[in-house]
Amino acid sequence: MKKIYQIVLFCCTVFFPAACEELVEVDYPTNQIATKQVFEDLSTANSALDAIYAGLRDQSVIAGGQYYGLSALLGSYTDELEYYISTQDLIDIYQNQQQRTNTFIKSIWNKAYTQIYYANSIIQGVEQSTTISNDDKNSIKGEALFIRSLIYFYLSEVFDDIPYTVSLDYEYNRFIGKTEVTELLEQLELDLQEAVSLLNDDYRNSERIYPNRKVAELLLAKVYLTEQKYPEAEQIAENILDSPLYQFQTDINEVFKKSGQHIIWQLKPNSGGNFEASFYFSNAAPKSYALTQDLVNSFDNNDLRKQVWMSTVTYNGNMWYRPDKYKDRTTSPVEYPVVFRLEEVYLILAEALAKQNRINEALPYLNATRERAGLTAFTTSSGDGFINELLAERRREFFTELAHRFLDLKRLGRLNDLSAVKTNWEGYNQVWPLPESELLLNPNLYPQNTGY
Amino acid sequence: MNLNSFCHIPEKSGINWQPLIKILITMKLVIILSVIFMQQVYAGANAQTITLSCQKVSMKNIFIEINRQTGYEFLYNSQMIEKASPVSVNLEKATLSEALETCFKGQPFSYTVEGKTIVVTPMVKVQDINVRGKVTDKEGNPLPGVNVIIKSTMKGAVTDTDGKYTIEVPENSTLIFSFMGYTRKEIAVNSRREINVTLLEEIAELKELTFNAGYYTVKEKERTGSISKVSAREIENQPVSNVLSAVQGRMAGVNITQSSGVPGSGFNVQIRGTNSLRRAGNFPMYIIDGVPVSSETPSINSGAIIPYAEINLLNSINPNDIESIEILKDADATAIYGSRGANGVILITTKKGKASPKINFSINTYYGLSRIANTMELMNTNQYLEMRFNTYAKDGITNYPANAYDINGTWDQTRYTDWQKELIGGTASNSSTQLSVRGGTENSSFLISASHNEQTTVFAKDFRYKTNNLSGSLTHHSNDKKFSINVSGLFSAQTNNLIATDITSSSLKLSPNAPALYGEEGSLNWENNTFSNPVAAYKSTYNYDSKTFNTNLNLNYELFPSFYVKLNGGINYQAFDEINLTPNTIYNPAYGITTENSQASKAIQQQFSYLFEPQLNYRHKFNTHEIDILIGGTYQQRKTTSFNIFSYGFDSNTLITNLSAAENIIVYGNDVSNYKYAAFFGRINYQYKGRYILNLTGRRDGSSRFGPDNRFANFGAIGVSWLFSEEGFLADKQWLSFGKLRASYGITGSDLIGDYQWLDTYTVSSSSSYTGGSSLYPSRLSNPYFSWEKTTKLEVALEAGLLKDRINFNAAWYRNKSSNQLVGIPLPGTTGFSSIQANLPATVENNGWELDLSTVPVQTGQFHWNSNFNISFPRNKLVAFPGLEGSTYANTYVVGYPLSIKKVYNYEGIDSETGLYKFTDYNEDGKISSPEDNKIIEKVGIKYFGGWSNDISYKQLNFSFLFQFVKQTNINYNNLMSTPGSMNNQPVELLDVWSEDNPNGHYMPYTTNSQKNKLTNYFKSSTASISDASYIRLKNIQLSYNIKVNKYLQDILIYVQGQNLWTVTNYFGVDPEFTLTNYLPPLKTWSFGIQLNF
Repeated sequence: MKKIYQIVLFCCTVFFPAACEELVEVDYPTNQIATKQVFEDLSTANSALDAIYAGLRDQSVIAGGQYYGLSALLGSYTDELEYYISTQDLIDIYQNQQQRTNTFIKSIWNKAYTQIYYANSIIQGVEQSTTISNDDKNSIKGEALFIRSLIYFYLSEVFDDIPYTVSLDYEYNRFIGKTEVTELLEQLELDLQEAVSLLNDDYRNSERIYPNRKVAELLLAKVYLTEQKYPEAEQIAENILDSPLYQFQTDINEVFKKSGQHIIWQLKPNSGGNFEASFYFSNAAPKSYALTQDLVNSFDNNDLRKQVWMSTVTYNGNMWYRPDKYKDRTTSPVEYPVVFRLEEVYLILAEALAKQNRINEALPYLNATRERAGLTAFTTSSGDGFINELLAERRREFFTELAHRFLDLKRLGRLNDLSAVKTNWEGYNQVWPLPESELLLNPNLYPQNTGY
Repeated sequence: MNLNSFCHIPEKSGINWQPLIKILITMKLVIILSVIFMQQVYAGANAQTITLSCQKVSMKNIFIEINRQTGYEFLYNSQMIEKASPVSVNLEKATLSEALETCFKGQPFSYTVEGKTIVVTPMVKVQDINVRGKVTDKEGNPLPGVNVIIKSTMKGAVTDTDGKYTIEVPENSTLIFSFMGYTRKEIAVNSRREINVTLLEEIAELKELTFNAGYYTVKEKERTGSISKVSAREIENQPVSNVLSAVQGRMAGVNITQSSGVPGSGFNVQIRGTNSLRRAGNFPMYIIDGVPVSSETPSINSGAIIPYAEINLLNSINPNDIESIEILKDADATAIYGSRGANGVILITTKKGKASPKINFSINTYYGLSRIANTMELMNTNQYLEMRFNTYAKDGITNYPANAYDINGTWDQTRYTDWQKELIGGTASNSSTQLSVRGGTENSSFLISASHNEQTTVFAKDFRYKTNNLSGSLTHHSNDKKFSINVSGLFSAQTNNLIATDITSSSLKLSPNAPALYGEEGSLNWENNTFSNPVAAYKSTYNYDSKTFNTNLNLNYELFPSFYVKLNGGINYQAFDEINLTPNTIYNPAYGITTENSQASKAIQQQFSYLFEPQLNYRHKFNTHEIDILIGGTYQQRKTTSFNIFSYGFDSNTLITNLSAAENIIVYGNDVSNYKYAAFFGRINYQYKGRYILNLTGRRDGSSRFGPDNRFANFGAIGVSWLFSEEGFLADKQWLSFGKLRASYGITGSDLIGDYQWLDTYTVSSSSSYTGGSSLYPSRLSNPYFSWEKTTKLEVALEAGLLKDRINFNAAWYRNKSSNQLVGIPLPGTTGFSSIQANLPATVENNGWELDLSTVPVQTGQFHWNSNFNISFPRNKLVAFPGLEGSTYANTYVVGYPLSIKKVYNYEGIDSETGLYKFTDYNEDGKISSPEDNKIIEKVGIKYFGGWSNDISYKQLNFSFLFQFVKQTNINYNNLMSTPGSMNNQPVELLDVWSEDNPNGHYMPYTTNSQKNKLTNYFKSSTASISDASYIRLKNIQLSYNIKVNKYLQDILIYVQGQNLWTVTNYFGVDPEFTLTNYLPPLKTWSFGIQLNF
């Protein structure tokens, strides 16, 4: 008996697999391509990049329309937006009482690192590619480096020290430690300098929906500004202004139109209106957010931005303001969500000059947007006075755009001013807590940010 | 030769035999005397030889010639002999008998040699005789409807209401008496004119019942594995569209819960507990007539109405078409399914044709009405408004918020609507009609069944679920029984039309004074934009159209004695189309949302799989040894194609079902995936003296779901049983009719992880397209090294039959350990993904007891009572989980506890000073937080469960009922409630608010203060949110009456059935069986049906 069993077992183990190995071979599924193969062809490599851009647009730190994006979250966290409905984690952010378990904070973190992984995967993929031309390799790698830096930059703004990785190895990444924010910014300088050297001046697409060299330079300028390296920031800003590609937009009604010469980088939308979806409501109470009275009051009544970029909704005897920068809600809109526009370069330059006590040189760059909005030119000789006005002007110019307000307050050391309007504000609120789930899985991320 | 029979001459014969008979009688005497006296004398004559050579000579001349050569006389009728055909022979020295044989060949005569005389007689035709008789049971009661068939023919009769039959049969034939539920009897006629038969009930031979074990069948008596069986009788005629609903509570160790009361939705089936940390990793394997099918139809768009978007495949089989369901549980039974047997195997066997003297037609139809089984008692308007006003009053707020329409004067405060009644309180109808035809001979039989079923919902709109089924089966045996073939096919078409999103939660939460649903002119009422009208959701629909085709071919040939070649093959095809419509009209028109925003999602999926299983079987019995060896191979391939599109922006909603009319069309998926599976399996069963049984099973499996280095793995089991009642020292014990001890041990596996998880790829995505083209993103962190999840199973069981099997008892203890858990190993976000597919070295143990007791309390002439009781005590434990503390599972699992635990805050009650909830602050940091303070581990889940069924019949009246019971704890409504005092209705229990006057109040005073309401959030995940959820449910009750009619319409069965009629529970919540929120709980149903058998 035992013998028979042994024979059967023998047959099973020896003959069968040899014959059957091929029986269980399967082709790749139609919706998947082997990683190596992706980078053997320029068009598939570009498709891999497209996935990141789509991700940036739809669910990333800079996504405009959804709760995933910092525009809405930090808008309500600071003094731009009131939050109206009852999702507890969103209420917590609005009330500056976010917990370590906040799902939106976790989502910001996770989505960011997913996109960082994608960027790293593309960088590694093109480096190993043998069939893509060097020029194309450079431009793909340059874009990926830029995107990765952009995400790290935003992450470090909200979390301070964060892990910095260029690796795809999950064994390494799962136990990675934090990089101090100063060190991280230095690393981003290097990465962006490399991106600048790899990217072309020309846009890959005339709609300016892919970053060119100037886009990387602008981000580098922002990094310098954050590091308080004002001469470097100044130089880059000047450099961008010198470029024949760009021209200041003088018509306030044209600022968000996709074809303007002041657009430095914009994202191609799926359809119109979605990028301000969190803020959109009409004929009824707010669906989620409305502008704070404080923000509305910060505008002069004849500031054209108050008239053109916001609208009011009256309902049941109540009146609310909502952002209305993007008006075209059709499926092929004339507006694309803008990430960088020339106005920001003006204000970066203004800040860099002012911080070097060159107020007079700085004033025209501050006044450009004021004048476009129908306001009189601002004058001052005081450095503090200038910075205060610059901060106010940035608030009016960039409200609900890409979390400018939070970044400005943080960079200029003014976040604690928020306690005037935010009753729960505490000093430790300058950073968000690291997601609890991350700490549980990776003890090297301890300590938790203070206060949480 | 019998003289009488020799002389029996049919009267109709034209030949005058009379003179001959006289001669013969005289001759006979002469011959007999001659034989006696002359035998010695002529002894040598037989040795004489004959030489004959002639062409076409008359028979008469042949006789003369033989007589000349041998001296033998021929005795014959000369008229008769003229009918003989001319003879051509060529004989050389042949013996007499050789010569006679040759000459009589082909002639219509036979001959006998009597002494020296050869008597030639005409060949007598076997006579047809009329046989009558009565068939009774052992108490002597007549059995009507018994099939009486002449063996090896299709001819036969059926007994009448008195159990009587008459049949014309050849006098030497054999009659077969068969009747459902009774053992078949074969009786040789032997020319008898009256044959009375007593048939014995099959129950008396319970131990001879065979179980389908998948690749083989096994007798109850001889099985070594753990197999539960439910047969047609228990599931027939129940007003359910899925057979799983009918077997709930009937099998030990099998826990079935219905996931929603919406028609067409799924079931959660767990056989001996949770093995895998992944939900989908716990699904059992389903096999229909030998063809493995995937348990769920992979729906993409139904998640908001059908829980988990799981549509159970068994919806496509009419429960009345099922002959039996066998569930394989232990290693002995499941190891032959190797890598797919870990979670148990559900074998569905459909009904087949039967030998029958005539074609049987049967028409069965029922109509049923259903309502939700349980509702909650919610606050009425007065109570609700009081709660609302108190909330603000407590906080000193007199100026109610603009959107507090219920109390700020916007809505009429005198209105009251019972929203449970209004939204989910409708009556659903359920109707079904089935027509079946069956018949056959001993060699070939067939069955064809067609049915139509329609169900509506309890929602107040005409949603409808329709199924049409057609199934058939053909069986044929060759005359020598060496070859047999069976083909079964099943086709099912289902259409389901449902609301896209379940509105059950609205029915529990809407303010009781909320406005009317419809305005005066019948349009939706938005109450001046203050009311989110819940029935607007009716306009958003989910439809599916599902077609399933399952066919099975089974060939069996006995190549040599005891040696069989078998082939099992099958095809399963599923086409599933679904469409989800969201027209802009579901939104309040005030938001200005136009048809530009009308949306439609459509998904089309097809699954085609085929199976090929050649097998060799050797069965032999020698002396006291019996051996049964089976070896075989399996090859299965499944191809799934899916096409998934989303579109939005229509010129008009009338075009919405035509996605090509949309302005924007996004193809979300256009995928083809393949699954291939190959295995080699074997079974050796050895029995010694019919009482010592050894069963070895093994399987080597290969699956495309694993990387090239880890595709193959071995599984196997050993089972033994000892029929101790057959032992000499027990054999004559009257009280013990059967006794068996059995044990098994083995390894099974699971590959339920989805296809292609090991590949390093980028995935094409068009949903997140950037410039309109496709984009590619990394699919996953790839790990080509993961392999099978393994479960080792151990079982010991005792089976006993007492008092002539009037009491049957079955007790089993099992322990299953699942390791190598195929779960995404949780990774921090910094890796870019949340997990990596790998074998986590976590171990889950399930052990428990299962007891079955079936008794026959009464069995007299016309009164039968069978009773079955089963109970299971499952225990589940996480034995090991390396790295648990650092993982995302840290808050979900604890080593040493069941997988179903919940970590909660310890609720201490209400602080008498502050009136606030108090929780234990374990780390004493002054605040309540997770995971420091939710330290209490609550063992949510089942402690024991089972069922008690009874079947009582008196004459033609049958009554049966089934109680199902579950002892468990679970989350209660406290876990699900909205913040008390907010604009949501609540159960009346929430009126019991703490105050100084009511210090025993259960709930904290209502408040709008968000800080205080944080305590409510802790309360919702505290010990207060977990409580007893045990219940006893009258699952099924049936009363039927069988009327015998006449020869043509054999009988009529009239029946009344009830499902889920009555529940005893202390549970605080909608339904204790059902703890999924936002989905419709199960329904209770009354139905009436009639079955006509022709």
